Amino acid sequence: MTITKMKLSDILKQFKYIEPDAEFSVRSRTEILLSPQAAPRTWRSVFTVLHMVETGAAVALAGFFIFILAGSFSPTRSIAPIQYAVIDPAGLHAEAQAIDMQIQLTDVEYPQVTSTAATSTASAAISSAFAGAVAAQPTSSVSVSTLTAAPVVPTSTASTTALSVDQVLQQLSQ
Amino acid sequence: MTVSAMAAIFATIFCVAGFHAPVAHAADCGITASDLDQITAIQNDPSLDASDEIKQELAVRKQLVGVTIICAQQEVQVLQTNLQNVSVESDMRSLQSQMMGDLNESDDFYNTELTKLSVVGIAGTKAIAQEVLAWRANTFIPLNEDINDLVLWNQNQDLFNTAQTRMTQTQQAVSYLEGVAPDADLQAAFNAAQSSFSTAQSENAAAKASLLGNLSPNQTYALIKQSLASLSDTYDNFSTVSALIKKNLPQ
Amino acid sequence: MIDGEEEQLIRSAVGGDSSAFGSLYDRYQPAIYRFILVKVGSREEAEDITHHVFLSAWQKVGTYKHRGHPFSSWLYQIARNMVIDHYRSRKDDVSLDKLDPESSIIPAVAQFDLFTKMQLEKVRRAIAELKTDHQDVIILRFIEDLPLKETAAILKKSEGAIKLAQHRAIKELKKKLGDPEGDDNYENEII
Repeated sequence: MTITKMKLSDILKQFKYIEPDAEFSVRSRTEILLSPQAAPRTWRSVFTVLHMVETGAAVALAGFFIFILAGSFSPTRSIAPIQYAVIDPAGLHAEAQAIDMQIQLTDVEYPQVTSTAATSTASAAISSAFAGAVAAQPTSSVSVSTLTAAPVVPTSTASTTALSVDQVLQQLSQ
Repeated sequence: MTVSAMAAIFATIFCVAGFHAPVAHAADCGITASDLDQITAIQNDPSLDASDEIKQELAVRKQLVGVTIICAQQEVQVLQTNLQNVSVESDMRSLQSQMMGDLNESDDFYNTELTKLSVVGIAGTKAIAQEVLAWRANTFIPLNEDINDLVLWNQNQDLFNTAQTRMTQTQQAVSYLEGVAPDADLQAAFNAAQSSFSTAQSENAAAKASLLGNLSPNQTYALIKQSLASLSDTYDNFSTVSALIKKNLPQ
Repeated sequence: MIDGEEEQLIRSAVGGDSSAFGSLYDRYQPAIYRFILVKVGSREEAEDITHHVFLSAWQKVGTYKHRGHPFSSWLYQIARNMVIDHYRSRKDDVSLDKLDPESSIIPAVAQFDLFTKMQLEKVRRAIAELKTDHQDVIILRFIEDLPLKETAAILKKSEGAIKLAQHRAIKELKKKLGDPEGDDNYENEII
């Protein structure tokens, strides 16, 4: 095997150590498994009919209860149907939760950024200037010193935590 | 719990129609402390003569500064996307447009720095890093915060509109009940809801004025947060009103 | 060859068992993600497309017909199609054979040292410049180490066609990485 083949094959083997971000994987998996599946073709029409029946029954039942409740009110204490919306605890709770979620999201996604304390989340993009920088990279001695015959297995240490833009600039300006 | 873990949980809970990563406010370039240590390693390598040491250190510095600046350009792109996608009130459209212009200028600044990077020496790379850092502190980060405030404020208006609808319905119900079965506790709870909602609306309006008046982004942010806290208080009061109304219903 | 455990998982997942599908997700998601990442070059886009691959698979798994190939073959096919759709839907109509200069996998490879990152990116860019079929062969055969048979099933070609494609793909890749002759005797550093 030539040196060239070993080097290329070594680099290609390194790709296999790339893993997706753990939080993305958890989030994605959860969202997928919570999402509805399409019903199998042979049962689709049956499920559709069952769903229609179920919906119709629910509407009829609601109407029945409203009728019963309305009939049991004394005239001096009845409330018009539209005002039942006010005592809809589920809707009220959902609206309150939405506000609390927005408050928490505000803290998480829009913290006030300072130049030295920026935290990191998103992915970066490299323009063709980067390709130029890579092309300008000295080849022989530096590359040989870092390439080995065996693939380099990456290790997880504190020094592998990605730094923010400002943290890197701070270090490189010194 | 880490920031990113919280972000993951909230994104899951929201389960929006498409799959969206959390909004970015600062970019992760994949550069680690180990990468920066390469510079020290080169400086301390006894096998390198002076000329090779300079060449290698320069190459690494250019790579790192270049990658970082290009990564910073990605922050700009994310902000451009967020700004384009938010639905803003009509009197905020010119501010939105101005911010887009500022983002374009940010991108131009980064491109200029990248062009300079290709022809400098080691001292030049340090100077560029310092220049970009200072520009970000003085110009980009305040712009970033302003844009986040604009996006956040406009997102919150749906919550305020929903709260207004609930306030109107609650008022109708309370007015009616007061006519048939006066309840001091119910009236007090409703007054508290009205008061906290009025406060929330005032703070919301103040946040908008701060945004449009180009005041400090920290001030705008504080007002936005305060308006949400007051809105949350309003809903606590709505819950009390709701419980009292249910109690007053015939059994 | 498919093992008995996977066969059971597939059967359960086809029957709607989300836990079984979750196990299949855990098993294959990293490989699918890598496949997409090498092709699109951006961690964000790779995450988005990977998510949609598995979402689509979950929604359609009820119609999956086990034909003796690993479940991953089906997933790779979905992934290939979604990457093609991804490029088609982009406004600037970037050709699959053209490279997006603004993409990089470097944020996705933070755990490597700087020079390995640079090398991975350089090779990744060169792979992305190849024809789609050659990209796929390189990724499936040389990165994921898939057997010839499975690669042929995924790409819907004969094993002979895959052998020929991989030979041409490697030759072209080496040329792009600085070996103008694509010659096996090339002795200089390519990276």
